[in-house]
Amino acid sequence: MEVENNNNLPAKFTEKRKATDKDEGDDAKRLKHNVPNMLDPLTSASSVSNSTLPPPQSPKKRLHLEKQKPRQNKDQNFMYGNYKHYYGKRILDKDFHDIRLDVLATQPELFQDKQLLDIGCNSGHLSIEIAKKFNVKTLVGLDIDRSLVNDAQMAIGSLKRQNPPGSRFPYNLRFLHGNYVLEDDVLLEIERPQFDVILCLSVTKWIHLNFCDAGLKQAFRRMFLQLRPGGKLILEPQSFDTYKRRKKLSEKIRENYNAIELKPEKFTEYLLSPEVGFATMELMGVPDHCESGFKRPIQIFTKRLVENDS
Amino acid sequence: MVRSKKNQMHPRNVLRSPPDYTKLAIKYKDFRNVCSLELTGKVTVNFRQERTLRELTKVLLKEYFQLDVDFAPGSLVPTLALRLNYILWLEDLLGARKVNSKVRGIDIGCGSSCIYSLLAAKKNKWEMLALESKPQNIEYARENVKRNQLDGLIQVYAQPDKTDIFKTYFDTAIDEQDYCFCLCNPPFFDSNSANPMGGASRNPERRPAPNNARTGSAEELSCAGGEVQFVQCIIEESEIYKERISIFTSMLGVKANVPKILVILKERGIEHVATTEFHQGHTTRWAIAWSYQQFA
Repeated sequence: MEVENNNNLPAKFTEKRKATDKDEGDDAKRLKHNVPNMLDPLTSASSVSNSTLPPPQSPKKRLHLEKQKPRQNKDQNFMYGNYKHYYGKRILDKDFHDIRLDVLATQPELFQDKQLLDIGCNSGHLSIEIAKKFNVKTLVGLDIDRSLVNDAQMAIGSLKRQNPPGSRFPYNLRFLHGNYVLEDDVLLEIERPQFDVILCLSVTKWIHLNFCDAGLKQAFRRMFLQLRPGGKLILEPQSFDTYKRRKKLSEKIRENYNAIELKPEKFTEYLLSPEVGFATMELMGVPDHCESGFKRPIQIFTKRLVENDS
Repeated sequence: MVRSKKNQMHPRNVLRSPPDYTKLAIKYKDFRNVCSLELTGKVTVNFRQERTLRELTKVLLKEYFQLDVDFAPGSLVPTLALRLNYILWLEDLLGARKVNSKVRGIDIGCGSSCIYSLLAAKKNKWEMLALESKPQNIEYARENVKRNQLDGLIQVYAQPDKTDIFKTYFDTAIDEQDYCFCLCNPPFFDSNSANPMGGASRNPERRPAPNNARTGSAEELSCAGGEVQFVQCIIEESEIYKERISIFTSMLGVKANVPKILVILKERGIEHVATTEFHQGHTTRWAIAWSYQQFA
């Protein structure tokens, strides 16, 4: 079985280790350190007066290891792209620098003193960097995975201990748990403009695979409605050829994959169409010096500043 | 912090489990327009706006009771949980009397919504006589009854004024029927006092302002002598009409007024008395019932 080499480790570490004769014999099955047999009436503490002790068992059973069922699909837990160590996999510089920051830094005035939303912020690493580096007014991060949002909130917590309350950062950061795709399209009727910039980086594939064309279209429309006039959507969509390897994540995802009609190459056209309503698209850049899988173009969609008379 | 007492709602109150505002907003357009959408996709309701309260009660009446109700502009917007608690308490009181025949009740001051009568008729098929003095409220109440096709069960009677409770009706109407109960939501506040709506809270700093916007016209909310005076009128008339109405009840908005009413009842030698509390959200109200016959 081919093992994915996600961490660029040398090959010898990626092969599964097989038991050999060199391993110790029966002794290996004992506990490594000398733990007194709690259940042996002779060695246990005399204060134990409970006479209903179970009979002595082998050391391994005593540990009550949880039976780990063999995972059918080890990716099962990440069906929303909610990888636990996402920011450990992207190629970074030594002091944690996401390459995308370089692209974003070409237009810092987009973020300075602005109110931002980061959709699918994962554990918040990139959101935090953006908020700090570009001196944003506020940044809200949303993620569908509650434990990742908790991680992000803990990160803010420790940053707060390092920064006095007088400073803007990190007190202007907030992370929320939720699904950006709404229960029903009609709720868009009561959506209001509230952000200057919305970041949607490497998220479209996951919305697409989990919530189909309908979900993605709704998300695009919601992004437009949440932006103030003149506001910008910064979009980093994944290309369709990267969807295929994920369709085994679940039966539903496989069905959704097969039903997709709005392919990523049509996103720009859709976002600029009257159905969504963005006025312009501009290519911000493509991250350099990274694995080709992550070389995704970053686009800026701008909402018209002045409303049309229509 | 004032703890919410909604778990002390009447056990049969359908609003014991809070409504799903997101699902309601998806289903009903008018309600949706007064809601807010959170970033997380959840719908929230701002109780501090009158328009919101009006749409909320309307949508709950529609969703839970299939009642289409409209409120006169500026008139009191009832909260459904409280009204339901009162009706359920009446069911309990009547149940104890083992009433087998048709249940008939009187709604004193039904307001523009006529909500008590509508709920009683729709839910329990009780016959209701709704008394109301304000012309605009009478008009809306009659429309509400008609729109919900409950004309057969509810009669809205136009009271000429607020000087008496039953007298005008019983004296002038051709009505031989007896009534099992009467209910009332009196004007809580005393228009004669210096600060009618001020409240006599002993510790204003610790007592937070109510969560919701105040609704209702001055004449719905206050009268000369406030609720004590109003309920006293009902008590006085109850002595005259004790053969016509079995159980007299009224709500009270101020806890301190409950013992005052109990004293009045005791002075008149009325023995069969019951009190109760209505809990919903952060609000508590009280109610009192008295009868010249055994409650059983």
